[in-house]
Amino acid sequence: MTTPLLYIRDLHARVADREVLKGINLEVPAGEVHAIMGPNGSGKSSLSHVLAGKPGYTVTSGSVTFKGQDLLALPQEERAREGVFLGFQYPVEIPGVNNAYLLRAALNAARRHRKEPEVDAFDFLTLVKARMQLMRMDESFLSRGVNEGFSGGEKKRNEILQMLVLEPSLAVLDETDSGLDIDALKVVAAGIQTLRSPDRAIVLVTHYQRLLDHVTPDRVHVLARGRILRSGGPELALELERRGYDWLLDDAA
Amino acid sequence: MTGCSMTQPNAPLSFGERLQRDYELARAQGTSPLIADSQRADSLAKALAAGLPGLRDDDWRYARLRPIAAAQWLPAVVVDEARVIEHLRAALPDALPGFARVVFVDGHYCAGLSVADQPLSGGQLQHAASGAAHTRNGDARNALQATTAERFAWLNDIFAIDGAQLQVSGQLQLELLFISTTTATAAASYPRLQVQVCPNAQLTLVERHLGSGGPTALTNTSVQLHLQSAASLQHYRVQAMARDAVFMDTLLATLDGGARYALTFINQGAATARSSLRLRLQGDNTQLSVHGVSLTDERCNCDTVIQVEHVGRNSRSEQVLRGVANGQSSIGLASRVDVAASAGGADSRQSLKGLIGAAGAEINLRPQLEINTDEVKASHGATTGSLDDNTLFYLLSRGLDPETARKLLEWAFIGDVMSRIEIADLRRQVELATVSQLGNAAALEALL
Repeated sequence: MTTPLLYIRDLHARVADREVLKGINLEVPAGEVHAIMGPNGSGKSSLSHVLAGKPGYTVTSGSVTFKGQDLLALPQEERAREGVFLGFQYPVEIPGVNNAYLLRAALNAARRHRKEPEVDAFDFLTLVKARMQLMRMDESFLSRGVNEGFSGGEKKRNEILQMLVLEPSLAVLDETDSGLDIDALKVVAAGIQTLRSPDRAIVLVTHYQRLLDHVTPDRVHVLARGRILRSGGPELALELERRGYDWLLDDAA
Repeated sequence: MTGCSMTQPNAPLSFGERLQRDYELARAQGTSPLIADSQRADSLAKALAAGLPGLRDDDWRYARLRPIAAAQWLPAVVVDEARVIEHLRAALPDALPGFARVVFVDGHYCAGLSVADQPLSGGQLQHAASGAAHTRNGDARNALQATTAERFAWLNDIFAIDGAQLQVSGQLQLELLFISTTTATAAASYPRLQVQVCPNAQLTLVERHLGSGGPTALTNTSVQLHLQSAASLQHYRVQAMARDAVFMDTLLATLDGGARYALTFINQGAATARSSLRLRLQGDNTQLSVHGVSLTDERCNCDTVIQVEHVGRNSRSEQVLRGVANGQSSIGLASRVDVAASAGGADSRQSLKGLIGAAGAEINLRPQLEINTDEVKASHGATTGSLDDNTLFYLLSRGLDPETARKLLEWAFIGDVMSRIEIADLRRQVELATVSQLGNAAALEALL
């Protein structure tokens, strides 16, 4: 058996005095889409943050292996350049830094890391405009400040646009579906589907089944109280939709 | 500033004794015909009475006073102009299309570097060599009660050897470059500018201060502006002195009825810099906007004190001031708005923000508002902080290295001011200088 792209072993993490991850075990092979579901406060976002290296989290034990290397030993920007992408639940607004600059700087940082030549302005614009069309975003977004004055839905589309430009090996999308209307949800789902390929993996962190109607996961995991309580196929998501989370929590208690 | 006392020949003299002595020496050396002897004597008396600012002067609390006191005051003697010109020509910024350029070196008009039609279309520029004589017409200070915030303008009166007198009657675009070359001579440079914008006339003025410095060499600028009724002035001031320069600056402006004054300033040079701006909205229906940024690093200090006086009715003022301090540098940004009893209908907005880019840096913001009438709209806000961790993390999570991410956010922080520079070539020059000052130029240049 080959090593999975992402391999999380008994991961424990804290924020200040509070233990938020209490022994996560998870394997995500290349080519698969995994959904992580769970009630509020279960640790879903914490797991995303720890994978991307957000300050404020302390890993107290366990390991995360990505492409065979120790992910936790890498600084945040190195993780990104190695191909880990975090889609933010609350993307920040950065007035004064335009989208085009950020996208190009991010793309070139990854390319330099891979010892590939930087993209020139023309190729970059060609690439970005094609991706924007897919995300049904107006080209004027490129010259606007990053997420500046964007609606909630526009911010989420922008996250997926960044993902499509950067083409990460592993995309962790933290509640990308929250705050989207049905049409925006379909666009975002189509964007995610585009990235699906045998050499990439996608982790969808979500509360609800509805994104999974459009992006069918290979595996579904229920995360609650800092642990993964149950894993299954796509049918598990449907069961959760029908029965809620209480029965699992009761089982685990 | 150790070592200053060693290079100063007469350290034991008191301020007054030193000023008297230098005043006599300067008179012997030759003074500007633009300033009447009576005005010079008057300014000497005021300067002697006021003394040097001290830490107890509220307006000078965040200025660095010792280098100012230790600097030489005697004006530089212009030497070997041809050699100076040859040396300087290569170092000047590219000319701005559509702008006449007039250059002063160490306070003295330099024909060899100036590029301007004679006479200027739309205005008239006089200096000592063109036969200008002193006049108190257009002297903004005539209308103002003198305050000790202007004490360095008095020193300029006493010591200036030349100056620009500009009268604008039509439309004019003018660039004034003031260059100091005082390192070698350990002497002072006194840029001096008096501008009168006649009724309905329009001036776009780019004023830049460049050049070398040195711990004992002072550049002490005095600018007086008088905007007559319905006159308009778009004014860009760029202070990009060498990193060891001591730069003092006093600007006084008076706006008559219906006048509009838009000032954008960039302070990005000098070891010690202090600007005192006094802007008086004398007439009715005047409009003032001030957008300014101070960028400091290493151990530099840059202090700016702005006083806006609403006197006429229905006057509007807006101030957007930004400071970014790196290294162990310090920035002071003070803005005081006084609304007189006569200034009904005044509308005043102040926004001051500071970004501390390094643990050893310091920023002091002081918005002040004094209102002596009803029927006024006024708002002010001031915030100082370091970069937001979440925002930084967002950029890192996209693969940007921490240094580039920080500089990018500092760049974004001053965007409100940079975007006010409407002259494309000037904006590019200023942005390139800013990018190279912020560091990591290669990464940031793609922004431009």
